Amino acid sequence: MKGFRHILAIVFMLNGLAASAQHWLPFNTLVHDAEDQVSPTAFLSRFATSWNDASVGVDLRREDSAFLPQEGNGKLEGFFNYGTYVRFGNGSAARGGARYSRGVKRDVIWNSTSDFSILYPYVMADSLECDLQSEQYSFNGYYATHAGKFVLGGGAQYRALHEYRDFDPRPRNITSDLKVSASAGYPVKSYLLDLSASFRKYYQNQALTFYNKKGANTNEFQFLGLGAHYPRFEGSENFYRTYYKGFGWSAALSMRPADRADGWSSALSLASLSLKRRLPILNNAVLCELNTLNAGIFTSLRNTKGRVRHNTLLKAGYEHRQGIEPLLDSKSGSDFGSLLDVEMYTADILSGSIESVIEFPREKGTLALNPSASAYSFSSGYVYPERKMDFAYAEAGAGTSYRSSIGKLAYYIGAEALYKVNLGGSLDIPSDFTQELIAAHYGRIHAAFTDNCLSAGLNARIKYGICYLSMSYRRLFFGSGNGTDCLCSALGLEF
Amino acid sequence: MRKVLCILLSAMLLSSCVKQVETDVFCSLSLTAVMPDGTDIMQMTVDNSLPGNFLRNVNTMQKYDFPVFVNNHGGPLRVRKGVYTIAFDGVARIVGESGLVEKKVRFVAYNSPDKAVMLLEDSADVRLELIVLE
Repeated sequence: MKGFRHILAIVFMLNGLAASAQHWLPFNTLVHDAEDQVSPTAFLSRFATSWNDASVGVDLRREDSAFLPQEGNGKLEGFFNYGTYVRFGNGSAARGGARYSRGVKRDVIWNSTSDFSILYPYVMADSLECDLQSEQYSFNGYYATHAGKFVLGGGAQYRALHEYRDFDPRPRNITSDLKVSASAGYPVKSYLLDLSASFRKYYQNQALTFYNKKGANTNEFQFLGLGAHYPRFEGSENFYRTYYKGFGWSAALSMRPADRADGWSSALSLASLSLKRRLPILNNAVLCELNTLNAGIFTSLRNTKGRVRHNTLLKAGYEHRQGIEPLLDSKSGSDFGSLLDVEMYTADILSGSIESVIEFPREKGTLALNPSASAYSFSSGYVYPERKMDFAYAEAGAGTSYRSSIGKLAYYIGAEALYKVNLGGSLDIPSDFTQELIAAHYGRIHAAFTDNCLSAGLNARIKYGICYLSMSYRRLFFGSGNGTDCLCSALGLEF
Repeated sequence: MRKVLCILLSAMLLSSCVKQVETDVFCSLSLTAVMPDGTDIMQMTVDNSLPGNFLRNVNTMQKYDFPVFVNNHGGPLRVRKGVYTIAFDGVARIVGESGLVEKKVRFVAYNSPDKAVMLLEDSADVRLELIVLE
């Protein structure tokens, strides 16, 4: 659904359990996250009271061998997170958030560009295995209200990312990513039919702050797809100052229960992002163009009544990536316009998953089960020199957790295990300098692994609200002694 | 009718998201060598191992081998569409007054990116006007 981001998520295990120990229980977030992605008004009647949540934490990842070399084999990141939900007296509500993170990605190779998951395969790359410093700010704010029978809402989210390397050649990338959304909902029987749309603007400025071929002892490559690169614009510092600029839109039609928690929730969404990579030194000549189309569908059923509560989410997604490479003129005095736009790279990604959270609330505490299964298929090709890479896998597993309270203290503990199995694939890449890397990378993606997670949290009611501490540890076993460790912990205050 | 309309609209929306561009990346290239005096060339060969002899895509820097020319013509070659530099020294065999004669010839008209030839169609015939060295 989100392309390689799906794979990235497996490795990174982003903050999931640790940073969300309090009001964001997995039982709720399972569907809330899906709803929030398609409609900026989905939160309107989600909570009865206002709240604020501030937390600080650390996110750690260490891999014996990098799953995605372009994102490094490790990460150490500290973060501050703030979220708020405000209910107004007239039935309106607002939500907002801010996050600052600062950290380092360890041993990044074949990628000097930020946001690899958005921009691949068109990235700048070199063969150095170096740390990439990373600093990110993000903000979001949404407002929703009733207007007669309609539910109207809108908001925006903004992300700024700064990544750089302290080793020659020294890339420095500055990214801004803005998304503005609006939606309108109308009640149909006991459900709310919602139509939403958004506009996105993306920009990344990429520069080498210092590059000396002799000192750096390497070259920077303008990667095109599956190891192909663009020799015409390599070898000079001037060619390494590029920028990505583009626009995107999305539209979604969703349906969710009106003013109640239980029932069906479904959505159909479509999103598009079109980016061009330009070279300022040559009259902003377009080096390549990447068009990404996403289509997604989900449906969920939630029941919060009775001695057994359940929440089940079924979703599927399709992503198509189209890489266009213009043939640039070479004559002096020309404006370096495109003589012909040629489709050179395509990728098709299919994904589907089903996940359920089943809770057994009892007087002493609540036991939860979390079975899940998913499948993923990736197929890509580069036209000339012809290259192909396909793979598919499925994974299934289950988790369990228990939460309870003792006086003013509340706690939870959880464990989860997943097994990923390879469903086949092929790799057809001509022999060149990238063959070894791509073959190794492919072998890693193709490998079966088990994914095990332990999590725990502790809450204490204090004078100012609820103080919480949460931790999760995840270990992926790839066989041959290879593994990935992820640790995330957060200390926060909800008030 | 509504369903058909919805399906058509959806298909239009989906297709509009993916840019319609050229998908055939290859050009069938034929080369025609011409002597200054118009004499027919029985056969012409180019030593592809020499770095000064090149048929090269400017954007990808990919170099293609020259074919053996027979009766003035070489090819067709399957090359990627693009902008090409072409230059070579070759040996042309022509029929002179005293029989078969070998002459060293040179082609330099497209020898730099500034003078490159564009091959953007599905097929192209490039005329190579030779210079006789001796």
